[in-house]
Amino acid sequence: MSLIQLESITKTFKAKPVNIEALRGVSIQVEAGQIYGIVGYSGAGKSTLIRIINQLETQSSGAVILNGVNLSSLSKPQLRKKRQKIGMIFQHFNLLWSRTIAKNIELPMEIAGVAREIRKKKVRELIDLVGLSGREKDYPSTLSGGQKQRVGIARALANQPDILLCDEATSALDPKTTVSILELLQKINQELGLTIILITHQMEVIQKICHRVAIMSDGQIVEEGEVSEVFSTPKHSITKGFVAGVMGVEVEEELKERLLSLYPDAHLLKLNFAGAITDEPILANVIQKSKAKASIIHASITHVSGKPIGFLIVAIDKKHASGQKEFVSLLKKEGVKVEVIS
Amino acid sequence: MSELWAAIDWTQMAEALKQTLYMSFVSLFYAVIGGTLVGIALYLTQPKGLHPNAVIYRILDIWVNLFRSIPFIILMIIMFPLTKILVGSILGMKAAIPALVLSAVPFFARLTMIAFNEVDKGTIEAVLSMGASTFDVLWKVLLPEAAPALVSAIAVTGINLVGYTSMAGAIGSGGLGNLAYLYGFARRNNVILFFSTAVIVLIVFLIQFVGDFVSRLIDKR
Repeated sequence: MSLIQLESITKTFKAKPVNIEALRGVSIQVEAGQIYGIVGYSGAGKSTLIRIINQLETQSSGAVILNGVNLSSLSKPQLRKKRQKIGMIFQHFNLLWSRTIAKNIELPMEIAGVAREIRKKKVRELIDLVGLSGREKDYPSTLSGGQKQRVGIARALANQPDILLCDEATSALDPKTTVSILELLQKINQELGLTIILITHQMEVIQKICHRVAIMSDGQIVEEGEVSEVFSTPKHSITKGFVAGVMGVEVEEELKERLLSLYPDAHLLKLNFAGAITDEPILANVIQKSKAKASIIHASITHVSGKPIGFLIVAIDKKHASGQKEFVSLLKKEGVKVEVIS
Repeated sequence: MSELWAAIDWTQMAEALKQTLYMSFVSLFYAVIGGTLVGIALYLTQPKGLHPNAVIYRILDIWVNLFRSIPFIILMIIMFPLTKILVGSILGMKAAIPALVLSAVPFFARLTMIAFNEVDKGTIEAVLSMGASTFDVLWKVLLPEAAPALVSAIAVTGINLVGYTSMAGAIGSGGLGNLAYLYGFARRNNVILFFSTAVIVLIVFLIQFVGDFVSRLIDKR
């Protein structure tokens, strides 16, 4: 059974003149040990969704099942106990300025009633883990954004949670700091086996550390799957927009139109590469064998979860189209998806 | 100059100062305790609070507004019967305490609620996500995070109370106000009038100074 199961979650906020349907039937499953990303533009409902997982918000209908336990069946004290095992970090860190860094990290353990000596020992471990040794007695106001988020992470890990919820955890950070925080999250995932659910509007975050991704729009999940799969073959238009954004390319339709007008006398082929096959010099081999006069007119390759993913668009002059058939069939034999644009 | 000083009865002045300080600080003590409790109740029961309760909130809200709008001198007079029951007399410094407390509790309660509402909602959400109870939220987040604002609120309330004791003094509770009114104004002794006023001003300045100092000291933002 999945560690986290959300079943047909809906959430309606009462408002005037019309109620707001923030979530319209969201179901996801997250396996233990995964980093699961939920991406969407603001207003898509992802903040509400992540808060329903630890019941900071209660759903209007549907069920949240963690480790086989339906959270709606818990009493308030039981729910509080459960929350101690679900860490959460925030976009704006939400540290207590009145407490030192060590005391901030200690706070969840105070709430859980952990003995003083154990708390102190755990704080030292966590400060080391997040790389803030020597700053124990400082106040949060003296830290940079990235350091504050490190304290946030240490605090979220204090009660050895099973799940870590990340609410736009890198959205307030600069690109360099974002990378270092993502690396820290990845390290925690690998070393502690912690399941991480994160919401973000930055597709780069998904690309960098997530295993699976769900794309949200207007209170619904429009696409879901392995990250490499979603990146190589996005289906929904919103997903395509996100993927195009992170690949630094135009939205596919616009790109095709532009290239067609630039190369009216050529056949255009789109070659999709996905996974390990891109390590082979496929294109060089195929061009040699087929003698097709193919020229690359557009390329976009990136790496998702360590695997190269991307596509090339090649043009073959209509006058020299002889080798084209063989070119295509040889490519298909190598596992490259070929789409004839014109 | 020495003639001027001779117009002041120093034992009387010291006694009046003692009474003013006693009335101000004893009533401040009770007002802070009572006001904090009412303020917490207002904060928790307000719409979108941690435990929204429209009935309790409305009652407290109206009570606070009502008692904040009754001028102190009138409040003191209409409280005479109750004061008589509580203290046994309507004269003397102890008799001023109930009215002083009752006027300061709603004021401090409102300031407490405002201070709590100023606490970053994100930090409250964060501790709730850790499994905190309402008591944890109050004790570990709201009170420490609102502490600088609460210290300022204590100073402002204290200053108000010093002012009120002077009014109370005019109708028989003793203290510097009583001295200024009865001996300074009524017997046309301007030296006593101005000197006791100066002492009151000094107390107010001192409270403000200490309040600002402590507030800044504990503010780690």
